[in-house]
Amino acid sequence: MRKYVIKPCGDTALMIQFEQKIDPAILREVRQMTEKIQKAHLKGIIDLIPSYAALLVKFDPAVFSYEMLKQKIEVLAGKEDRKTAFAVRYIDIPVLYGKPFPEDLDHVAKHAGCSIDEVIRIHTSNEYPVYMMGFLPGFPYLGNLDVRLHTPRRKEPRISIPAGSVGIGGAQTGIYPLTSPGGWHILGLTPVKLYDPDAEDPVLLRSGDVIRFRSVSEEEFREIEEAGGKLCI
Amino acid sequence: MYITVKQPGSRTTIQDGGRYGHLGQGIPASGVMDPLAMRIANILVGNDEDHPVIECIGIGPILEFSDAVYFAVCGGTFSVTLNNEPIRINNLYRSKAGDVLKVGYSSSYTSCVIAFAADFAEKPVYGSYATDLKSGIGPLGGRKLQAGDRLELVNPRKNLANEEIRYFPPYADKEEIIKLRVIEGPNEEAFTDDGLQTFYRNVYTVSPRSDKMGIRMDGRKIETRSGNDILSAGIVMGAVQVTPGQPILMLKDHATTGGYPLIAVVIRADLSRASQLKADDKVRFLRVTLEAAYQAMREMDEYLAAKKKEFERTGLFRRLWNR
Repeated sequence: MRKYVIKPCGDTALMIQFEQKIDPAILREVRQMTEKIQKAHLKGIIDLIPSYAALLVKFDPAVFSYEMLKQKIEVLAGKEDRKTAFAVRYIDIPVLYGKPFPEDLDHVAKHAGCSIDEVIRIHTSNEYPVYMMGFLPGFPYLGNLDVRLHTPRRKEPRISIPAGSVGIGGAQTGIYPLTSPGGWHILGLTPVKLYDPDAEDPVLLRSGDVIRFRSVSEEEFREIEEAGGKLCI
Repeated sequence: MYITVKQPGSRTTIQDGGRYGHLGQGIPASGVMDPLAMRIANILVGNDEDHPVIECIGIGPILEFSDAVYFAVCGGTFSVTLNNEPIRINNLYRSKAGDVLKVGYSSSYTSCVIAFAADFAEKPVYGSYATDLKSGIGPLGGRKLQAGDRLELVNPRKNLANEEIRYFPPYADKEEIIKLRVIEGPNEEAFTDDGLQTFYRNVYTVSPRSDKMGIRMDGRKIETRSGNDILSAGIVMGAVQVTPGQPILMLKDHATTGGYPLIAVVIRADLSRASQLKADDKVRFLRVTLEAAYQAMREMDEYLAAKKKEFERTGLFRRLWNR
């Protein structure tokens, strides 16, 4: 386990911080720590929020004080790291490019100095690790966007971006699980439901998954949508 | 028995202490804004402290009881009537069949809760009765109460001991400057010494642009070392984020993660006070140690436990106690 610091986040949570950068090696550290704490099944841990380079631990102060839990975590962190790789789920996300805001795809193409087809080719040829989940239920923070596609956010955020919108904001690419306001450029739309409150597991993705985008026709889009927007993983 | 919603009010929902176990998927905890109001309301009616309640924000609802049931309305400064007669907040009552409970309007975003000495027939969702309106998760399909809803209540508790002494004093009148005790935030190093002094030495004013995601604070700008961006990380209720414009105190509807540095986090004992802030209230942040925070938490827990014991004391012991 590499260097980390533990700090209070109020009197009912603590924050474990690693080197503050977006890096697959740091992501692995966060996952190691998350797994060690989960596997210890400590009564009094209420929830965990892993992020790019930190892990927030919410705890019941009737069971632990901050100091007591900090010591327990230091002991857990000292345990041997998992040697084997974490199982990676590869998830293909079908995208109907150019919907519902074709002007955004144009804008990204102009900004990159290439054709729309080239933007789609670049966007569909990378693999995107899910670094963390947050912001909205089921929203994945993805890494590894090709630098040619890095595009500053829109000057005027839109009031409403539909669920399933696949967008670019600066160096990030992601998918809106819910209709929400947003300032990203929207490349296309996926019929896959990333968040479904009626499903047994409401959130499709999790930290550590790897996403690949696949360009689909309007016809295929509709077929998946009509089948309930479900993916077999 | 059931409760009929005659008028739903502006934002009336079923809530409990919050839904945990899914924060890492981006699903907010939601739950009541004012955790103390939930605890005292449930203690008054003899429930577990985190039993589900109805929470009212803004304009309150008008509800009709089909049968007799104990209930209590607790929290912020709402006017409440039962059959058009004013009733007290933080006090136990028992309805009769056909009674109409009306929760009035409260200025801006304060909240109150209604606890019943009975269980909701609605089922919990992912282990909780908390309602998150944005993601549509919770009982009733994750929505607000609507006119015409009939909320079924089961297992009504009868014959509570010591009905006449079951009340809590109303929330203390607000001082001119409301003090919120905080622990230093996990991103304190993002601020200059001057920035930290600005935050702790100045009074901040609650902006009218606040909502239940966060209370925006107007006041002196807080200096950072290099901008206001951090790598997004988890946040908790009571955390104070510093955006380029102003500090924002996170309330129950906040997103699970955020990308602004956290300068401080309000201690648990003061979350109720923070959740009941109104536009134009003046706030000062007081930095305390973790020991002081836990001491304040214990004092509050002990006070509530003592009240609970007093309410439940019966028979001979009670008579001896009263002498």
